[in-house]
Amino acid sequence: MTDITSRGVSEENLIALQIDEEVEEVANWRRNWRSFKRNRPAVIGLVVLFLILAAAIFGPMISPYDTLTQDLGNRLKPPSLAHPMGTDELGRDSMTRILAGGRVSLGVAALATTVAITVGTTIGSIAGFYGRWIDNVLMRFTDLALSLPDLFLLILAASLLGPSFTTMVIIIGLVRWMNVARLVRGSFLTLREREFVLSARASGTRSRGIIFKHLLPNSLSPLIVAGTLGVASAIIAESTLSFLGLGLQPPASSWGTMLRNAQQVIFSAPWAAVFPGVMIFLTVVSVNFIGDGLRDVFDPSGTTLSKSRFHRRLERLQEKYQKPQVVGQGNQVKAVVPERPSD
Amino acid sequence: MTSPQTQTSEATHINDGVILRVEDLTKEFLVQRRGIKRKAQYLQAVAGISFEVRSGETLSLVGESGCGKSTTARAVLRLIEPTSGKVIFRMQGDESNGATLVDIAQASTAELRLVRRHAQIVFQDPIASLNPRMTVEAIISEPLVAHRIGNRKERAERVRELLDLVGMKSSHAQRHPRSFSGGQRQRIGIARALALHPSLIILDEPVSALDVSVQAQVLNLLDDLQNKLGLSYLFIAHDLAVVRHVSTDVAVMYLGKIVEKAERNELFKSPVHPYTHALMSAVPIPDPVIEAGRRRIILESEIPSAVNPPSGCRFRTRCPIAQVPGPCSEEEPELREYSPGHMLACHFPQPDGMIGLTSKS
Ligand SMILES: Nc1ncnc2c1ncn2[C@@H]1O[C@H](COP(=O)(O)OP(=O)(O)OP(=O)(O)O)[C@@H](O)[C@H]1O
Ligand code: SF4
Ligand SMILES: [Mg+2]
Repeated sequence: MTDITSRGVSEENLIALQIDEEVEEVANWRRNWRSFKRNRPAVIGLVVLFLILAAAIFGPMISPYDTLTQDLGNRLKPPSLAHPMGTDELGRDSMTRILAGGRVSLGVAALATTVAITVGTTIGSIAGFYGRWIDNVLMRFTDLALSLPDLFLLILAASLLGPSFTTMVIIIGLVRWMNVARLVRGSFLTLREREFVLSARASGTRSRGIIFKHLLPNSLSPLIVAGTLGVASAIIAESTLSFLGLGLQPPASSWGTMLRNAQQVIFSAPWAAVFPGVMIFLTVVSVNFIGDGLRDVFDPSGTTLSKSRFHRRLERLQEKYQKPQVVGQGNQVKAVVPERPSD
Repeated sequence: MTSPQTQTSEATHINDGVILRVEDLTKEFLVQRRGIKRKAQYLQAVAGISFEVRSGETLSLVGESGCGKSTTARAVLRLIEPTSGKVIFRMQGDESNGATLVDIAQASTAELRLVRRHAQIVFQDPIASLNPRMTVEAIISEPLVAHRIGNRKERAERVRELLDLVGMKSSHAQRHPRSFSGGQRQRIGIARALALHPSLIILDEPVSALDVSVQAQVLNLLDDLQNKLGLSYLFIAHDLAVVRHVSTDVAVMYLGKIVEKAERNELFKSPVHPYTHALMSAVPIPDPVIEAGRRRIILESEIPSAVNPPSGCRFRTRCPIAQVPGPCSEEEPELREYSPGHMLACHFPQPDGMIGLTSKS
């Protein structure tokens, strides 16, 4: 049998033979990283986010102050060398509290995004894989969830469930899964018609194998992008809830609760509001820049997420009116409803 | 092979030596018009075709793009649901219980899984048919995993064997498809199709996407494999040149129907259908003198839409000798025996070629 190769050693075979296997796998990541690095804001965002994370994790440990110990003689002091971000209304060091609050804000955001991705991926997968009426039902439900104002849902859920770290995670997660679901569904719908999926079916691979070996791994890129951008919106959601008094209760604090407390002293001690606000702003902007950078790497055509509300609306309209695929060539093109492979 | 037992409820029969018998297979797609008024329409991609593949032989299905070849391939393996028709497949059993006949079109999920151990498919697009995130080893062993065959070590061993069989190195096993050329990817696809020791392989334009120099290598490989493993092929192609060397029988397809079918030499020596003549005129002849003196039959206009196929003969809108109005537009020519073993669907057979009727050269 080897004579086939020797007979057929053409240039293309030789070139492929020269590529070393590890190099090739690494090269892919290196290529992605290189194209990510070209995006200045994304790199700056990554650095800033890294600094914020490190400060939130290690800051409270090395700070000479405690987050809870009150010093009533030192209330609402402006920033100074001893207290770089001033003190709060109970004389506690603001910087230590902001860094500790960052743990809460970032923790809620990260976990809530995990919830959103899990729920969204599950619903999107089922809809995209089974299609037909299941898809219809699930997507109408998703549309419904999308059409309700986020804030309304957040407030409703928060007041029903009562405030705590866990409920915050669940609530925010449950309000943010819809985009993920639509993304995963769209990706599944296109992938399941691809020949490697047909081929897996033809080999007798069962549905579970098709989903976990073929459909999900090839839907990862949009998920990474959506996940990153989701973290930013979860931070804002957490802050909003806490600001409205529906988030964590004192003495626990997050950036949102600190903003809330600062309201009352906004004129006498503006720094109490400025620093948590700046932290939220910096984090959200960094995460968004990173998300945009990732999108440029994984999805240069920008099909993953809409960049603005206009685009989002356009997408929704298109999805509504253009479910069929376009098949054929030249003047034979037709819009066609994708066929479900059997079994 | 002992006497075949019927597995499906309805009694089915196929002749000895036939491994696949397709009867009156149709596939309609639901097509929707875009616009305010949505209207459901049906596109008849495969319009009632019948053929047989004999054990160890190759039936080629030839026709231009969009005539329903891939749809046929997929419907035969139930990768898409056929609209109607029978697909009777002779499943090789082990020594104890001979072969069984299964109607794939009616098979249950369990039967279908069994069928898929014996009938495999190789796709046209060597890029789209391999999952970019899996290693070659994972791709080739996927059928083994799906059917729970062997343990990890045995499967790795089998993958090495298969890679060797298709002329690749076992060191290729840990790489991803993107590091291979088109020809090599197609070899990987072939190795995957061979993993379960199938008896029938459907080859859906296995070389169309490859460079001409590589095409020959892959065709040789397929030929070697057939001789070595006793495989039966349903070979799909869009031009006659490719199938000349690999086929036992050739069926020519136009707009969802088979218009001519014959043994390979018979078809190449004495084609009768105007459409076959047209396809034939595009096949280059190795002799440059003859080649220079030949005339091409250029088919005018595009292949019509399968949503509203022409009345009567489907080929009449492009046929150089069509009599319209007349029999060609009024009556659909049936596929009948034209001479022994030679099937034809045309009101005006052209056994002596169509030279006088060709248009441009
Ligand atoms: N899922 C689908 N929905 C609707 N129409 C389809 C679908 N798949 C194929 N068709 C149509 O069916 C017809 C036959 O398609 P098919 O892919 O079988 O052609 P083919 O002979 O394999 O062509 P090619 O040589 O380009 O592969 C075409 O008109 C095509 O547009
Ligand atoms: S039936 Fe008429 S139109 Fe059809 S191929 Fe024959 S001659 Fe041409
Ligand atoms: Mg095709």
